[in-house]
Amino acid sequence: MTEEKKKQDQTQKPLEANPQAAITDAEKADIRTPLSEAIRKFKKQKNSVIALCFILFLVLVAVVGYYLVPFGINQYDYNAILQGPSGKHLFGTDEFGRDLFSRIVCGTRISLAVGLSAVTVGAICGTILGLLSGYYGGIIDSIIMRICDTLFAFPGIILAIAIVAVLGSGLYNVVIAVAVFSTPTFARLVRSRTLALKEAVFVQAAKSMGASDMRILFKHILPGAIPEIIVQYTMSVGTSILTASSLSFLGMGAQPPTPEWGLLLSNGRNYLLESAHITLFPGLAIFFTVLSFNIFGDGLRDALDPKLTD
Amino acid sequence: MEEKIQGKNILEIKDLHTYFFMDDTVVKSVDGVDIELKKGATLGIVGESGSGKSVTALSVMGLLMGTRGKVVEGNILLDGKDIVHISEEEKRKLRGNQISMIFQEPMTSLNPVMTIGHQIMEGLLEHENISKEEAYNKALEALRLTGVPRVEKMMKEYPFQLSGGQRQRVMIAMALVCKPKILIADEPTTALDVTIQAQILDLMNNLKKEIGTSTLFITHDLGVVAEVCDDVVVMYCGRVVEKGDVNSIFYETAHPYTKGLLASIPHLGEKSQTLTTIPGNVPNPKYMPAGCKFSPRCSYATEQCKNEEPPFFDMGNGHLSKCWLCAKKGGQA
Amino acid sequence: MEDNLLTVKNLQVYYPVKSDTIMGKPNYVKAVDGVTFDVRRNEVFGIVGESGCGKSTLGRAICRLEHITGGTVVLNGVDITNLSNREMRPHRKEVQMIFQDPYASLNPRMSIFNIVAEPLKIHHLADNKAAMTDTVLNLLRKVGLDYYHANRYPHEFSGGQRQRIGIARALAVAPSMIIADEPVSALDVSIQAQVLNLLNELKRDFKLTYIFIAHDLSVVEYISDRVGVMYLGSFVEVGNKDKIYNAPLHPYTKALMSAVPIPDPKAQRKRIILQGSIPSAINPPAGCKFHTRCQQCMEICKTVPPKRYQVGEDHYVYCHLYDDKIKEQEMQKTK
Repeated sequence: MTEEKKKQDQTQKPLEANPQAAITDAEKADIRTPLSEAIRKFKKQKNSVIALCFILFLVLVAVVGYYLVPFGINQYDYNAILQGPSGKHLFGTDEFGRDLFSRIVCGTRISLAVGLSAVTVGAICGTILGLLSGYYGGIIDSIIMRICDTLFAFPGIILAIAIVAVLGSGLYNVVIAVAVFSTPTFARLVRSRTLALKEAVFVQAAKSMGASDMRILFKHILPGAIPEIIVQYTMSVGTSILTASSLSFLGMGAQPPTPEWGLLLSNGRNYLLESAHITLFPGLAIFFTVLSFNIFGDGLRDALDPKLTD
Repeated sequence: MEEKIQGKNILEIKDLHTYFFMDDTVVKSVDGVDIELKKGATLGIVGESGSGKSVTALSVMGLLMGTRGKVVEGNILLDGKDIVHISEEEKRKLRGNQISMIFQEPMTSLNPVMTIGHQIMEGLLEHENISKEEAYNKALEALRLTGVPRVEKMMKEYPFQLSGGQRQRVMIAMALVCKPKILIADEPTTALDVTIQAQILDLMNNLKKEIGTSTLFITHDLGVVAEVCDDVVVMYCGRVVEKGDVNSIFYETAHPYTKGLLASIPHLGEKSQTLTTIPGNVPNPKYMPAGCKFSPRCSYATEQCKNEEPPFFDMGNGHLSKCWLCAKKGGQA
Repeated sequence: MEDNLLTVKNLQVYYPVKSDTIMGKPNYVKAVDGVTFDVRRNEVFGIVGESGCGKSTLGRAICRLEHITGGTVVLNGVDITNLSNREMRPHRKEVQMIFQDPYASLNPRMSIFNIVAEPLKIHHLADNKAAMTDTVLNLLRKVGLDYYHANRYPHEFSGGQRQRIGIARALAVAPSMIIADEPVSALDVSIQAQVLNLLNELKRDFKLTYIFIAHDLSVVEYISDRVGVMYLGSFVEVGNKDKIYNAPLHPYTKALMSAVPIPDPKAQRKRIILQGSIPSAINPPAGCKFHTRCQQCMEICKTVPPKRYQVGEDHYVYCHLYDDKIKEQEMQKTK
């Protein structure tokens, strides 16, 4: 070491200060959990917030609508058949004189219930398969992925038709059909996240602590995949509602007189030229519901994506 | 070290303020910085995370467009000409031509699908009106200058075939091929092994002697600074806290932060029981302390330090320090 | 022998790599290729080397985070080389690891409290919630953090603070040995010093043994008692730190020492610049792996791998230059 350096070192004083004192109470209270960050980012997207409001409104309608509608869903009125929208019948009436508005409102509960339950079942099954497939690899992975490949080979609606054809018509079978064709999507998604997270350093750290496989899968890997699962879930709900409606339209889902939207559409086919309102309003209901779920899903994806941080 | 190179300033950064406009706050990455780079010299910019050294380099290169950063105040003069308040097109003409930059990560700074030769020639063809053949020859020369063996072979290779040290040499060749007025090197050896780092630093010293490049060398490694730099600027929290020639900084350190930095690095061959440390952390940009930004961590801090931000004090010979304690030793700058 | 907390004999970690042709011989990346050393209780054993030398893989293999291809690892008298996951679990309490990347080693979705408490939960070390909270807050305080940090999430902390959290987590199970894999490389210089001092303090207070892996020679010198220098998967020089740093013998060690930049502008530098770069680990050079870059390469170095030669008390070198017989032969040749 040179002379200059030695001289320099001798005049050093040991540094002791209390930097903790500088941290203000405001800073101490400023906690930013991942959830609060996500909410903050979500609120910035006006479209998605509006879509969320609409969805919440639909849920409200589904829950209480039944009790608040002006007419019964099967209330025939032969004096008022095929009437256009008016003060008394907001959306008009169908060929039996039933109030279309009341029928659509009550159909909300059915569409949402079918959409949400089908995707929930698909998501749970798909997630479990994806976790096992991604984490253990090998034979398990091959088998699960080949099954998924097979299911993916069919367009969703064709697959749904095939399943309902086998099981018989009715809303329960529609739910099963949609769940079956949603599962591979979730399985693939969760598998790819699992593959990535399996190599993460914090997972290695957990292993080095002696964490069991189950603990690693459910406490470390699954929480890391939740954002993607949630986003896919909202997107799938839209598809699911559409599929259920399509199946009902084709006569394979809900059966009359259930006021399911697809069935309402189907009913209106015969009266398309003179009384277009019978097809228009159920169609708009389907359209806005699916659209709002998709826009909400988009906004969620942007809010939850860790890479889109400022 | 070689004798100080006298001459005019090829780059002058005057009172630079670069802010990043985030959703709920404004991050003042660079908040009042004055830096002068003399022609033919190597200036080291030393700082840790959050000091603003990389943002300063990006401001000089004009590479803030597209990010949320903006130069809100101040001037940058290249050879006397303003390079901040000019159009994007003019800025583009400067890059690679008069100002070149080499980055920290040689892995990601090179285009993986272009051959080395092609990448070096790109800058030439862009800025100079020469034929492809001439560009090829110039590129070959630039690469040869970096001491790479089997130059012709490497011109045809792709980045993935090269090691980290070789890629960094390619970056240096790319940066120097248009004979720029200044070279900005942002932590060019941090990602390299120490033996490769030694090779690259050697190369940069040789190139300085041969071509006389003026270099802004950004690093956090004080050892590297001692090796290659003539002058040093120490940054903390977006401000310059001390600047001067390399001997003044190392042997007559004035600012407590610089002293702390020097004391906290283990020196090879030194026997000591405890490293003296700078306690605490770099402040959160949202909760910047009042007065001198270093005062919460400074053991010499007085009431004045905590309330008023100090000006620069001249310690003599162009050595400036931004600390109230230097008021006694130096006159106000 | 009871003095040794860890004994590693001839450890090999090979990764298979697809060969060029279908019927070709399988290729291996020889990440760790025959490493032998002991670590004594309460000492700091530093492992230093450049990228690709296998030091991180060695650290992880000792922890059983990597598949061990050959050799043995004996921890506290127990051969843990081939234990199953279940058998290994109680032994994991004895050796914990601190990782290099403070940004990746903490689960971003877990609060600090849960991160530090996890080892306690896994090994059932706390009787009830109150005891667990007590232990976690004590650990945080010991590493220099405060109670209000416990409910926060990793992204709110700086690199140095995250590294402290990682250290607290490692201490939770009261291990005898901690393997620190480049714990300060990603940190700012001033924070490095804080963390190094903390590690020293904790070593004294908890009577720990460290294996300290780094590429920064000055840092390794500061903290270690004994050092091993690695190149391409094996040690080239091992022994007492002062002996190796004051009088390095292996040509690679000498070059490495001379390459470190000194923060002193007027210091004399006698630099040994190594030509070329580190060879591939799939096809390492025959004989002594360093011979392609060695300025003192002899004929024998190209074909015969060097053995371990003792050149002093607790100072070993893997180099033919220090084999007396070979030295004589070479001298005969030059005469």
